[in-house]
Amino acid sequence: MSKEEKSLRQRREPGTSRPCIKCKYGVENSTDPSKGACIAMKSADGAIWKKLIKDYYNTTCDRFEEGETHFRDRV
Amino acid sequence: MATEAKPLEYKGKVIEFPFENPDESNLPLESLHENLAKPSTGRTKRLKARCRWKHTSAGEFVDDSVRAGIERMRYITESYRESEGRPEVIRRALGLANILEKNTVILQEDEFILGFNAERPNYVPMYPELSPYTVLDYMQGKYAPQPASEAQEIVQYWSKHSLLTHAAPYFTQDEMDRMNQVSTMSAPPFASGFSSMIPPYETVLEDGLLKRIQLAEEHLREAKEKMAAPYWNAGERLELIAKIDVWQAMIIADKAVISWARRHARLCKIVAENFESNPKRQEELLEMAEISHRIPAEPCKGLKDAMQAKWYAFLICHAIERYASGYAQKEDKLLWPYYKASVIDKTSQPMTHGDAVELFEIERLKVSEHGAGKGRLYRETFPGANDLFILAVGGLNRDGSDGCNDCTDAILEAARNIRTTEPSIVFRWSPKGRLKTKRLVFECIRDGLGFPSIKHDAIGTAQMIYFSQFSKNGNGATLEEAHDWCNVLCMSPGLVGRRKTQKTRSEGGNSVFMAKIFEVTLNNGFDWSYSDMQIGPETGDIEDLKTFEDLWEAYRKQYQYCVNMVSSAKDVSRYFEIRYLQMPFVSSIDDGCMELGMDANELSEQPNPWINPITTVVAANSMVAMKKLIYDDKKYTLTQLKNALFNNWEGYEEMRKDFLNAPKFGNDDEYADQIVKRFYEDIISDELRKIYNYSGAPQLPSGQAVGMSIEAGSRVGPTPDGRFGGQACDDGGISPHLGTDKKGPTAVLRSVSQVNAATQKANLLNQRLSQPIMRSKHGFKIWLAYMNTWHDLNIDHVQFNVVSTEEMRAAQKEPEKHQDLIVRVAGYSARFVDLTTYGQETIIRRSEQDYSAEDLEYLGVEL
Repeated sequence: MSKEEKSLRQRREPGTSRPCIKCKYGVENSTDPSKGACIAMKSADGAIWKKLIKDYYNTTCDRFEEGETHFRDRV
Repeated sequence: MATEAKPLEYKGKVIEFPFENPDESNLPLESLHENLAKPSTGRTKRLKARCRWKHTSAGEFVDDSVRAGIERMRYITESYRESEGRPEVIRRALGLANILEKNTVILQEDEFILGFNAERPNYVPMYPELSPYTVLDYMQGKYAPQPASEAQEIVQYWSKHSLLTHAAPYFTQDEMDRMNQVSTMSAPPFASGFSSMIPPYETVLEDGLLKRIQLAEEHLREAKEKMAAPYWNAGERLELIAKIDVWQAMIIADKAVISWARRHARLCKIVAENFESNPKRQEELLEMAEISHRIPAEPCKGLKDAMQAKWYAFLICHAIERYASGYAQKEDKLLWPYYKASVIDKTSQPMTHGDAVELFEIERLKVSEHGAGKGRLYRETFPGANDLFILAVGGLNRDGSDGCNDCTDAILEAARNIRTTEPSIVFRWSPKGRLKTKRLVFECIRDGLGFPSIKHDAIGTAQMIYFSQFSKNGNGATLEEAHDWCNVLCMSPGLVGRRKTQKTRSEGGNSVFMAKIFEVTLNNGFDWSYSDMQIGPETGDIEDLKTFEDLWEAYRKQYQYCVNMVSSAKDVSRYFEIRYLQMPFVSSIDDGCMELGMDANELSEQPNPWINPITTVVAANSMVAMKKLIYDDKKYTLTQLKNALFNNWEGYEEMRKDFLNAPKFGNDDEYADQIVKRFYEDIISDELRKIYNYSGAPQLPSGQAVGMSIEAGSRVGPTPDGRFGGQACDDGGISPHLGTDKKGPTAVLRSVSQVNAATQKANLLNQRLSQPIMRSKHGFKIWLAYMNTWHDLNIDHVQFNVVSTEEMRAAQKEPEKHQDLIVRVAGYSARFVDLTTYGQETIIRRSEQDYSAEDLEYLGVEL
């Protein structure tokens, strides 16, 4: 596992102050808004390899960064 | 500056390709499309300039000022709280009536066609009765309906009554999680709230709603007399109770729609008499008032009536009674009598052909402003557009004569002039279609609209006949009626007319994602790359797939699981739509529902079932690469492949090159094409045909990607075709994967033609053609030869991008200067600058097909 992948390893932390929903790399799940997806993994050609976040409010990781990613930088 | 195509030696001559319009050589190549829009009047120019587009991308609205409205959900909820205990179908009608009685009606500057679906032109309506997920998603973000506390209460109410609430308990939590994550399967309709339909507009235009009310009242009277007459017979009379409710609901709905149209009439009159100072506009407002007072209550007399009545019916069917995507209609046939009365005979609402073109431009701008309060999934699925709006023209009439007419031409001229992404157009291609109209089709495509897309007329008609044999009440399409079809949404044909049309997407629709299914096939049904959970049956680890047939059969089982699940989700949705989501207005305008006293969700006369396989070619190319390099040549082992994929090819660069260079579909390569053909026919079609839907017919695959080639690709790890994890998948239903078609346009056609079109419901073929050739003096001749060859090869569909890389690159740098640059994504067109950067790249990377001398020879072009 690369350094980048390790930093993105999700962990469930109920009540965390750094939840994925507040992170710039978090986007809402397509169907169920209690879930999300991480969009931090980007390939050289700009493709984003998403990872499902099963509990959007209570999950975090080492790459947490508060904010929002502009739609143009997503997929 | 624009450059001409290079000269070509062909049949012993050097062929030059000067521009058809010599002035184009003076236009900058980087901004050609900004010079092509020519709104036919000052009014349509102004309307376009102030249009409030509701394009979405990556799940967000591109225009930050778009908001979710509260009126629709407020008034339907208010009505439901008051109507507890009444029959459900009556509650639905009362809900619609309450919305139409109390919602804000809007009149905007320069408008001629009236009606909107929300309280402000930058708002979209909400549908909490479908899936509270959708409203919660809006509430979580910046588009939240206000006041938020009221929205919260409304969502709480529907959490006990929505379609999702009713249907979800029939699936396990694991099943719901697997569908809702949208990786191998699409979310169920009851969770996404997505739908599509073909309204039977004909009855609104031909009869008017007063006549429909009269018909319902007659049925009601007869039913009540039958109930009361001696001698009571429970077997035949108890079933009248439900019918009585349906007819009553129809009357409530139709009366409400008439009143609502007349509210618009009053508004126009008030503005004309009290506020408008321009005498010409004053006169026009009074004319609009007169029209909206008279229609849709009465039959239409001329084209102005028909356009307005159609728009009101569209709003109710697609946006107010419930949400349904689409703009399905055979518009030139539907409007021809009114066009003829106004433009040719001048017997009612007389006008010129140019006036009709202006009306169609106005219509396009109404659609461009129309937003959908749809869930996030479908805001991700059609990037760069508001929603899917696709109308059909061309084809053949019921008697087999050419269906193209002057109204067809007016529709196409308007599209070419005004340059809007929506609505998209499907042209039904028949050898009988007149050349004049085909030339207009060419001009729209050449000018880069990405539409019309082309459907094979005879294939679509044969399909209507095929499905009619399964009709549950023996009243499917007749041989004549089978000619009357349009695309329900992007790709799949469905009947148009006074009855037998598709009313809900639980009939046809819902997707499976073939590349992801391939990925989990290699991992015993486990998804390591996106969700980290078991999402398919256990069919063995990659090392267990000792032979190619082992791989084939393991894939078949994974596919079976997915199509079975999404099919059951559709039909469970239908079950509850029939009981809780009745559509009294739609039912009232369908002759079958009217005659039989049945709700439109329940009555199925013409089956039209399908499932959309998406990202098929990545899966198929992966099959081909594994067969070649592992099972045939034995150059690599399954363990090596497993390690390479788990490492996203990192450390396996040479191996990746081999898999990337393995034979690919779209190059007229027999090795690849025969495997791909078998994949489409033996697995995709044959397995799906074993599943019978609510309407009693076997399902067929309708291959199309919309924008999901990108979104789905982001949930798929690396694949054996040499693709990296997260990269976009193939962008059509049968389109070669990005940049892998390297042998020219006719090689693509030969590959695609290997798959028997009759085994599929539809299959989307995306092609990017050379702009200099298309704009040259030979452009039309070459394209026409291409189209005739496409037709003779019996291919279902094709659509084109004709845009230069230079212009797309320029638009990436200065988006504000390229608002008119349109590209074809898949099944719809998008404003290029409204796509994500990666989405834009996937369009740029498509192979731009140039013509070699061999291609021209194959097409039989004389130059």
